[in-house]
Amino acid sequence: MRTQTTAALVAALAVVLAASAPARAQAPINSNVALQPAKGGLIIRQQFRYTRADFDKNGANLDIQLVTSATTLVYGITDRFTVLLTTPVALSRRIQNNSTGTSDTDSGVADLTALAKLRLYRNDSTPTNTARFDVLLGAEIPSGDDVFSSDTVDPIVGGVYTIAYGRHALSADLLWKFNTAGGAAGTDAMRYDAAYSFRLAPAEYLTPNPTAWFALIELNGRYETNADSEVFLSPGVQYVTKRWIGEATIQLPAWQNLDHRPEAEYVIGLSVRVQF
Amino acid sequence: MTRRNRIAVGVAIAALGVLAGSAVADVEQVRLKIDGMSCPFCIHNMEKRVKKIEGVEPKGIESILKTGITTIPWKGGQSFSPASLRQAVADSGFTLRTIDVVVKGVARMERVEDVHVLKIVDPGTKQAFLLAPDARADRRQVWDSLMARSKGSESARLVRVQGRVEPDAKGGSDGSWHLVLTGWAPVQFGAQVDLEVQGFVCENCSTGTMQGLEGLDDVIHAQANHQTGRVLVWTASASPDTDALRTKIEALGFTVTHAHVDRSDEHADVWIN
Repeated sequence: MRTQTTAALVAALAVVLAASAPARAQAPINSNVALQPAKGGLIIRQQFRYTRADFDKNGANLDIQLVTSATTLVYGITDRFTVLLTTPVALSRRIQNNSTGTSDTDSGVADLTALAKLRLYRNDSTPTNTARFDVLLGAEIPSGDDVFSSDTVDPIVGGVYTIAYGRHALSADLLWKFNTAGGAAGTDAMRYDAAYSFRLAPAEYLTPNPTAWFALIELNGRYETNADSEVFLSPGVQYVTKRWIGEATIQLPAWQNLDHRPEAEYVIGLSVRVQF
Repeated sequence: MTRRNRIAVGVAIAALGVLAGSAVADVEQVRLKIDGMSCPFCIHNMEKRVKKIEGVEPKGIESILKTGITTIPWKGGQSFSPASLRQAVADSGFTLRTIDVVVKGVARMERVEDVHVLKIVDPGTKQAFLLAPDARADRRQVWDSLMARSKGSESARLVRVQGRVEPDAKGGSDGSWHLVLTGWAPVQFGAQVDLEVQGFVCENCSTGTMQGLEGLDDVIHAQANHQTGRVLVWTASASPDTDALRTKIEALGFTVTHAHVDRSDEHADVWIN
């Protein structure tokens, strides 16, 4: 039977694993972006994350180490309409109970996220400048895992705006997840992100097979209707080629007001995206 | 004709052009100007779509993000469709601004109904880019300016032109496009070899023959007509090795029954740029 602590940790896991909907660069690491693959284009993103968290409320004194893997498939139905599927897996979750001196390790598959993204606005003003707005619609789907999965299909709706201007890019998104579970477990969640990236090199794209380095800073926020909220500040770096992107990030809590789930101390993320 | 008039005619020439539907003389290069590709990851999206277009030589495609210019080598003898390029860029999610082409072929003035039109043709297949004179220009004067300093009669001229492909007043929906000429120059050659070939059964035969001949060092340009069996070859040297041409064609499985050489001093070309 799932305990309250375990349920809270499952929720935490779900939040941590709520990978952004990746598409093309200049795409942030932890946020959504209003850029899409070409019609018939496929992008596969593989993320690994390490999370340190603790939970010391309601008499509990827990330290949590979580290693997760999230695979996201992005496919362009048309140049404007994209579908995304994310499969998050808890490779290892270790819970150290400091009160009893015991530890527990398990693994499993969390809820899948299926999203559709539709571009409503595009303005390509110069060879490298663009502004776009997409709407997002989808759901979290239970994986059936006894520990890491919820029991409900939870709809998601939102939007994302991206502007790329010279060496700079900004993205901002807002999503709302409707939790269709009843009672105390039926907590809706709002997610909001803002990301800024700067192209470190090259200063100008002058060669036919360019590669580029980007530095990013993101603000990733969560608010739940049970009054839990947190904001992460997430610096990162990306190396971008024509076919693949390598990226690294660390998420640090800037604000946490959590009564119902663990507080993350930090999250380290490594990921690669490849397009076909 | 005075120099001022020649310049004026040259400007008029630069404003001319009609490109009807799919066309081919010998497209050598296509340049696209595309907006919205903000990073290297975007290039693959676009190039993947473009590479699927018939006629594109996929290995030589180059995209420069700063200028938005994608340069596409074109396979010899392959048809060219601006609509296909436009759709490929649209499917990749970016905005295509312009299409420029470099075309090599033989310039001819022909009368179509009551209009003289200037064509860049493939004399073997008769396929052509049409460069129709502006209605306000003196068509005869345009042709005369091209022939002003040439000797001989109004015969075929091997020329390389570049121009911008733009949709006509109907927006190109019916496949009609204008070629706005931005520059042209004669292709200097030493001799023209006229061959009669037996054994062609389809367009693949003539296309393979053209590509095979253009692989020879001395060959500048080759055109073939699978229906008539006529093959025209322009060579750099004034004394081409016709045996080498014959050997090449016969190695492809065909038979050369006749070869005639015209040296360029018999059709001297001096062009206005």
